[in-house]
Amino acid sequence: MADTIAATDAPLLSVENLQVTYLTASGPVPVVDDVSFDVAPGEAFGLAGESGGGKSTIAHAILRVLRPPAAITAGRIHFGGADVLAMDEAALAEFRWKQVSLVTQSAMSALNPVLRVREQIVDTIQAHKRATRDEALERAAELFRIVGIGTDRLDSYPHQLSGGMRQRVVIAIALALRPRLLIMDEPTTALDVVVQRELLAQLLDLKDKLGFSVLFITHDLALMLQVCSRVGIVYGGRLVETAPAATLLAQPHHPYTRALMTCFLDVHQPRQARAGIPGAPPDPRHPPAGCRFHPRCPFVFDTCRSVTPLLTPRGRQHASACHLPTSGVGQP
Amino acid sequence: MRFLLRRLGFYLVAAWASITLAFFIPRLMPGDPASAMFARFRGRLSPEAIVALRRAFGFSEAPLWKQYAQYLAHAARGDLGISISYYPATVGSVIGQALIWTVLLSGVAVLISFVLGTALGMLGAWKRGGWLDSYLPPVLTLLGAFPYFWLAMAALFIFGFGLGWSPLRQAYDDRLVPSLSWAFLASVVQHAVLPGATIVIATAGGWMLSMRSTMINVLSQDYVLFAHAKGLSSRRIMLQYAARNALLPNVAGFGMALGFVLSGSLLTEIVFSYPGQGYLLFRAVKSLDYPLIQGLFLTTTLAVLGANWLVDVVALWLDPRSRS
Amino acid sequence: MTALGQLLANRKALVGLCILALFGGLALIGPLLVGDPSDFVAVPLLPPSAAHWFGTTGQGQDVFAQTVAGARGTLAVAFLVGLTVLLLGALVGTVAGYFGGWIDEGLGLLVNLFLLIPGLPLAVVIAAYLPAGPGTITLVLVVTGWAWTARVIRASALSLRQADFVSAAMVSGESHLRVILFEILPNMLPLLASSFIAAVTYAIGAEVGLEFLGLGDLERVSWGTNLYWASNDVALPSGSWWTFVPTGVAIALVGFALALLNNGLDQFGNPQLDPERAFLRATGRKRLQLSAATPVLRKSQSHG
Repeated sequence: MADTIAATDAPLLSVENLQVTYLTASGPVPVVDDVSFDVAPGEAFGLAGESGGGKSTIAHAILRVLRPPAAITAGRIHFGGADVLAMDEAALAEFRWKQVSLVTQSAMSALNPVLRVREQIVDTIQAHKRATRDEALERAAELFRIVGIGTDRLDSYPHQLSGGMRQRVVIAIALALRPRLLIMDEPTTALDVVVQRELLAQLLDLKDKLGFSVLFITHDLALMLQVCSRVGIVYGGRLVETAPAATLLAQPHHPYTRALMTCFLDVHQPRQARAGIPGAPPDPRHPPAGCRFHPRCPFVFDTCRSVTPLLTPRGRQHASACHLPTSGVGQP
Repeated sequence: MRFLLRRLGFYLVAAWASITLAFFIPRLMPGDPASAMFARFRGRLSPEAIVALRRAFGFSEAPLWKQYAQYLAHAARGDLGISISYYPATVGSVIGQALIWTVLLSGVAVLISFVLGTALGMLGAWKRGGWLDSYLPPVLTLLGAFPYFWLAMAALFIFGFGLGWSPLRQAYDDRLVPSLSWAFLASVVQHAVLPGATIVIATAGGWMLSMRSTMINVLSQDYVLFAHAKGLSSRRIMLQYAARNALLPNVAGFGMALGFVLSGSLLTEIVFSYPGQGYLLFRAVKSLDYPLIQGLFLTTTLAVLGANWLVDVVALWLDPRSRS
Repeated sequence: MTALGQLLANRKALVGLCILALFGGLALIGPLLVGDPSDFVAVPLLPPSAAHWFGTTGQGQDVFAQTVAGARGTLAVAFLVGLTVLLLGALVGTVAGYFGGWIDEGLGLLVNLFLLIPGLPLAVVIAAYLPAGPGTITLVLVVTGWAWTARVIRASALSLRQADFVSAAMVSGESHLRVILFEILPNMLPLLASSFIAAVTYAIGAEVGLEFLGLGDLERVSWGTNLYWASNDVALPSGSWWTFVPTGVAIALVGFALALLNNGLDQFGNPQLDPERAFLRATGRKRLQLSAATPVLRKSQSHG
């Protein structure tokens, strides 16, 4: 478990009050609301939450690749001092991949089925640099070595590679231009556990060697706590808790976080009754009033139903958006 | 590769089925087929024509299976009998000439239509909401709702008779002798423009809508998002990532639609008196030249089968996933 | 909203229905209103006038009367063909998709054969031996047109077969027939409707084509025979556009209306293919370009 706590000055990525809205025919639907977090240079920061809670939306918003009818309707995103939301197409072309790159959920669907994998690396390189084809191919071979795939696989089509290999290819493409931040969106969900561990270990190794930061998005809280130094919990499009990983593991505050923790099995602990979280994630079109989690919260009381809680500090780098008091948590 | 061989096998079965159909259909008709046919001509048949008919259909005193075997043997040799209306020319020779013109006109027109329609569909899906996406599809659908031959009549009326921009009939100026001279080739092109354009306009709408639909599907795929995030140029994403994938189901669809499109283009030939299979079919029906009708059925079907197999080869080549 | 209600709310489908209602009405009562279209009424090839709204044909018949009467001739056959193709295609497709195995292989081969063999030459080969008329045309159109419907319905039956509720019904002992009739077919209704429309569309076009070729009953008045006579009576060289234009426009309108209706049905089962208008309005753009960056739209008042 990583235990370095990143410095809080000069963050690499700074997201403030981000709001993403879908402009649908039946009206605007905010799917991400008032989300703020920082990622320091060389840090691994995680975002966890249920599927559909808005985590991927945040990731795509940073790169501004959200598709219509999505629009960013409030907030600021700064990367290395530059205002991402003010960038025009040309500036974004420079920004994307060179500064921030993305590894998506299912590598099979991230790779173009009709192009050989080497072409998919070469076109990335040539889109950003004046490189000859030979130079680009050399870099592709180098990247394959870095992620641990045999260079004889460069000529393959995606469907000819195994799941783990494909994911490595996607990581290789993501590292092609030496980005400063790598966003990983559920990168290991489609893989089996053994491959998962290998890949993540390798990734963390690369992170230390090459010095990039990681924004790690997943619904697997246990995994995230092992990989990241600081973590944010997303629910209903809002950030409900952020803390260093160790703190979250020891003293989770928000009831949703605590419920998530109990969802995961630990082989070494004594047997405990498992419970899922009753209820369903909120419908972004008709979110609950007040705290979005209140219909499913075992500790709900009146204020929760009408007043939206804001992120309030609970300890060192630990904040939680909940009306429950900081201490004596767990008592209704 | 195995896939191609399996398809070839299927086409051979289809070819055999067509020949068998051609054999049995006259025999399935109510009454004794031979006399029913002769009755149609109300005794105007010359002895030679009777012989031609008998040969074409394999009518003889032999048992049915023997007639069938003979028929198959004849068909395999390309002997389709003797035409009644073009007597004493064989069906094969009459069709042979017409086939070239049909392949030229319909083949080229259908290809142009597919390429054009597909390109328009790709662009329409890429820039949703533009005029290409909003207005062109309904306009092309409306145009496609007219029978092809009606569009041909309208085109001939306006551009041929009205404006005099196009020759009125046939495949080339009949004062010229067929040769590879510029004059002849130019005349051929000139005569093919209007019928060809009619076929293109009538059919492009279908290809456009179908490519637009597959493009829209593909554009929502992760690999397009990934390409966008990678910072690739608009053009590369549209062509190499989106269109190349969206094209695959359309190529398969092209093969399936060939037979249908051909039917329409045959009728178009009639309007222009273009000397292809369609025009020949028209005359054959008019004079009830049964051997010719049968022969046209067989050759047209076999041509479509052959074209389908070619499309299969192309589809296989385009999709790397099917090669392994 | 009921299904019909939803359908009517869709503008395109509504327009399509209106056009079809118009022509359906013409088919039903039109001939009663115009008198015998085959009557010789005036000098041949007269242009449109107050007396004869669409002019006269090359044989001195009233074009308007022929166009109106032709509606019944063509649409009756097309409707019958559409219905028969639907029944036959649904039968074959459902049986093949439901039972699978060698039944599916065999029927599938049959379907693929008929899909591959080009329709027009086959239709001509059969029709040439039979007496000319609507019966023959119906027969050949069914023979050449059934396969497409069968294929589409087979695909649907195949996937429905895997559905949980079907397995449940079978496990609880329902006979195959009951499963097909009460579990599978009811879930295919939009598909069946859309297939029917496609079949009728095909039938109209193919019927008109065959009649243009000369295989229809030339004494009968239908849109196809109208065009046959227009072409034969040298409409084009004489400049008599009115002899073929009204019929062609009528055919196209009906075909277009059917396409609109089918498109309206599409919106039912499929996600919208229409571009996101609200988004375009909000961003002030005319076109949705997918490779454009996510726009940043701040509300005029800043939030705290």
